[in-house]
Amino acid sequence: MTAPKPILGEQYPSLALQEQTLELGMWVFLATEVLLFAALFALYASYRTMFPRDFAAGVAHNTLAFGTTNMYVLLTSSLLAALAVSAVRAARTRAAGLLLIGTALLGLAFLAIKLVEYTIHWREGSLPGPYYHFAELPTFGANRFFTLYWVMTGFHALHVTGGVCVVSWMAVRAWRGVYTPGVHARLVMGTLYWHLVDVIWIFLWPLLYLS
Amino acid sequence: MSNGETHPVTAVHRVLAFVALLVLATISLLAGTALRGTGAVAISLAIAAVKTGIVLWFFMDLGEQPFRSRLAIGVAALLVVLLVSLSSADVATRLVMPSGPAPEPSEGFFIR
Repeated sequence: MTAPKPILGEQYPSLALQEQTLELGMWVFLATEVLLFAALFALYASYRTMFPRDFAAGVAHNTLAFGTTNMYVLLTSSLLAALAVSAVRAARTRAAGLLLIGTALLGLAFLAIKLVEYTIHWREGSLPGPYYHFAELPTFGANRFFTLYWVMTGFHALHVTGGVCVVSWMAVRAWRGVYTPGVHARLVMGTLYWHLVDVIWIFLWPLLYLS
Repeated sequence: MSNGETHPVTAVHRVLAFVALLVLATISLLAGTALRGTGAVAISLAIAAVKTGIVLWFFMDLGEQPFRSRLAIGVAALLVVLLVSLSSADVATRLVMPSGPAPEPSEGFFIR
C-alpha cells in the first residue's frame, strides 16, 4: 500500500507555506471555539454570583469520582495525541496510528462515563430548564446550575464526539503512512482540536464538580 | 510547525508535562475537597490556568508557532477573561434602586 502524495494548492508557492497556512487557520478556528465556550462560562459566572449557595449545593451533589476520572482520561488522551505528532516527526507513522487509536478509545471511555452520569441525572430529575424536578434541591438557583451543567457538558460532549471521529480518521491515515516528518499539518490540526477539548474540560471540572 | 524543522519540544518533554498535569490535577482535587467557598474556586481556576499553559506549550507546541498564531489564541483568552469578569462584576454590583414616582401625564402628542 503506497501513501498518497501531498497535494499542493495552486495558491501556495510551496508545501511548507501551505502547511503553515493550514495551522494558522486552525489556531484561528480554535480561537472562535474558545469564544463559543466563553459565553457559557460568562453565564455560569453571572448565575453563580447570583446564586452562590445553590451552585455550591449543585457542585456538591455531582459525583466527583466521575468528573475526576474523566479529567485523568482526557489528560492521558491528550498525551497520546501529542506523542503521535512526535512519532510522525520521527518517521514512526504506524506508532502514531496506534497512539491515535488509544486517543480515540479514551475519548469513547470519556463519553461512556458521561452517559452513565447523564442517566443518573435523568432518573433523579436534575434536568435542564422546565424539565427540572429534582426534589432534593427545589430552588431556582439549582435549576440554573443544572441547566448550565447540561448545556456546558453537552456542548463539550459533542466536541468530544467530533474529536473521536477526527482522531479515528487520522489514525487510519497515519497507519497508511500519509503523514511524513515534513508534511503532517492535518495531523497537527486534528490534535490541536483534541487538546482544546481537553483544555475546556480542565475548566469545566473544577466549576461543575470540585468547588 | 510541520515543515521538517527541528522541534524543541520532544516526546520526553511531553511525558514530563503529563506528569506535571497529573500532579496539578491531584493538588486541585485535594484543595477542592479540603476548602470551600470563593477561595477554593479561585485556587482551582488558578491551577486550571497553569494546566492550560502546560497543555498549550508542551502538547500544542505554541512555542513553535509564529507570532500570528500566538496572537489569535492570546486575544481569545483575553476576551474570555474580559467577558467572564465583566459579566460577573455586573451581577455582583447591581443596585436595587427604589422606584420613583410615576411621571405626570403631559399634554402632548399622546393625549387626545
